[in-house]
Amino acid sequence: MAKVAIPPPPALPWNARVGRFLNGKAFAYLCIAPVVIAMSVLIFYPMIQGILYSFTNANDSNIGGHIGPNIIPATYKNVGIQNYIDILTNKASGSVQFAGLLMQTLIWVVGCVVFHVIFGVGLAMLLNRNIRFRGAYRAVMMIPWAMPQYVAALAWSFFLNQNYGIINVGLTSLHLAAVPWTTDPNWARFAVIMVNTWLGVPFYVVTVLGGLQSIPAELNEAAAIDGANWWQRFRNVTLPMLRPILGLVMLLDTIWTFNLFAVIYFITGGAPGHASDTIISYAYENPITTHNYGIGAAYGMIILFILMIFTIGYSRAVRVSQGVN
Amino acid sequence: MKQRNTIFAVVLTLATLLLAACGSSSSSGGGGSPSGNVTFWYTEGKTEEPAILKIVSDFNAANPKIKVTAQYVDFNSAHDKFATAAKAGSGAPDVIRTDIAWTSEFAKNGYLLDLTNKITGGTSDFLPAPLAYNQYNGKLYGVPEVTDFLVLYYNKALVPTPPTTLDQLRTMAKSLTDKAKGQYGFATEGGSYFVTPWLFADGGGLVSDDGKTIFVNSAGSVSGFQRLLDLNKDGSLQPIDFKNGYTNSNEGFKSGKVAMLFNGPWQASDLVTGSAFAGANAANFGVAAIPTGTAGDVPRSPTGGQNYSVYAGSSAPEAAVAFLNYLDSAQSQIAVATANGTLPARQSAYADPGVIANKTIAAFKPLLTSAKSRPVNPNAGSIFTAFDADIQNALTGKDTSQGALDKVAKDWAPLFNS
Repeated sequence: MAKVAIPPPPALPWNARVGRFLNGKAFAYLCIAPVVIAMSVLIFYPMIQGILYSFTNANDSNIGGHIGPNIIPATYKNVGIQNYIDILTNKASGSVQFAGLLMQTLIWVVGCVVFHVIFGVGLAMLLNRNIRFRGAYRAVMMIPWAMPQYVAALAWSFFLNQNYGIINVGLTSLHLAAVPWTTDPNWARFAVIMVNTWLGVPFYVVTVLGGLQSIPAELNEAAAIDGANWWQRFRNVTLPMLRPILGLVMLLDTIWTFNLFAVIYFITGGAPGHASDTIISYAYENPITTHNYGIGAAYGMIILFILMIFTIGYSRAVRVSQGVN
Repeated sequence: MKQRNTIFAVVLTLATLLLAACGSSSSSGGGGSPSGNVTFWYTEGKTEEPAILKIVSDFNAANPKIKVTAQYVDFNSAHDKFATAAKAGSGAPDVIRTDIAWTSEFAKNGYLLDLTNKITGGTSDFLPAPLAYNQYNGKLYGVPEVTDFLVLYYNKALVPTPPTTLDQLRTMAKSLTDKAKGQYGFATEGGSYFVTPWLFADGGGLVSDDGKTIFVNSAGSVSGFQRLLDLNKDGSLQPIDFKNGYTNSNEGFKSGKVAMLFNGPWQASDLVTGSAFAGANAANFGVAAIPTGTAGDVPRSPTGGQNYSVYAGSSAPEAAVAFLNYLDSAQSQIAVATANGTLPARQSAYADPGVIANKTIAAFKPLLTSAKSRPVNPNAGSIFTAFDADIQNALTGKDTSQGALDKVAKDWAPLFNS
């Protein structure tokens, strides 16, 4: 067989080479590279580190470190799923019941979101009418939102002070019983939900107001001509038109409320006896302030798992509703 | 092209050198006196703060090469704030005032600079008990500033003779309580630290001296804690606010609405400013030993106090040590004690006429023997964190004295066995 010398392919000019590169997949990868790198550094690396720590007994003194002249060797060890078992079987702490934390988380999230929706939609509808000083009312409505969360929470903790707060001082001066804000579990739960309702309503007002203004006035007029009363118009025109925006706001609110601990931390500190602690406020307060990284990381993973279930459930719901439409 | 690269490299090298020079300028030079910037975290409240700030400004005036910046940090958040900053390696101060129970924990974690042989005049002048909290593994990681223990503060207008036993205290508290007028016999914050004298009263405790046995749920602790729950049952306690309990109990005492209170010397300078003790009422301010469980027993109260330490990662360690030595000198301790009525940790300070003349110190000095050590254990810094919720459950009636303290013991087991 005669050997046929295969000529090397002619070298492409540089601009053609760049052009081929830019047309291929490589360019796509190049484009997403910054995001991938940023996410790996900011999200994936800490997350993997967290997963790894959750299987160890790492704490402040055995995690090792190098500070100035002091070098502390890392001596923490793998404990398998012991941290998770301890948390779920209430062995991580004598005074905290995991089921109790979950229950309080549920009460807190559902309570806050329900009150947010009721007051948010109600106030937005009031502000959507042609009233005098509408701009001023809207500005006042924004105050809780404009205030940093912890400042608002601190201010409320002054109002709710058992012995010197304006509410209890007012009640006792009227010869009424003072409210046991931090010593009665139900009052404590009520207090934190009340403060967070106050804080969260403005966001609903703004977004719902935007949604209300985008509803064509003709729809309401047509319904009115057909003889629908106020409730029927609200139920059959306003609410369905608000649904897309309200659904999104409620999803965001659920996640924010779930993750919020500043209000609980400043108002009751979880008192009495963790009754007003949610899984987030407890996960912040205990394993992190005691610097037990293993338990803390395991709590983080449990919280991540709960939020993942929620997000998956939500995306299913969205897909179903889109399929119906 | 090549030439431009060379210029770039030269500029870069110069910039690096300049930065390096800036960095090293904050630490001390070879043989000269130390220099640099020192950050100092103090935890004294508003009434105690001026004495500390004066020491800082005096030091700055006398040492032009060192600039000390004092920053206030709330005592309740100082532990976590320092631990987090020290671990992260940024934002930690060079010198910090800590609770005595934190020092060995911070030392174990490598946050603190070894101060062995760096203390001017040695450590022989310090009271032995507070000094012990500064040692870890045979090395010195801090110096004691003040020592303290809880006492019974009482309002002489309401309580002519202070109770010596807790049974007397209960009877008196009950008769002094008038809910309709908002008048109460006793106040407590509802947190863990202020429960310790009750645990000690009937022979109970926290943990054994070697840190191996947990006493917090022993029979003595349970019956002692029950005495506080009895006061609560009688209705003699000012209604507790678990979030603001510390401030509220002090305010109640200051306004005369609360007749008796357990607290330490650090609060005295604030308590006497209350309407019940200001001006013409000054003579109503009473200090006595914590009442005992059985008559004639020794009063027992938890030893507390504050230390000064230097952060291991300090960028100017020599300047920080120089400041620490000034901050905790006999002269500074005398100045703080005279101004604030706190108990100095140096023996020589007690010979100073100004300290002797201070009324609060004069009242506290004879009670110094009632101080009972808390565990010197690197894990003891966190023991009070796990404690609060259980105390709250007992005070709200959700749990019993035994049940609550059993849960505390369970929470402590991993801390003391590791």
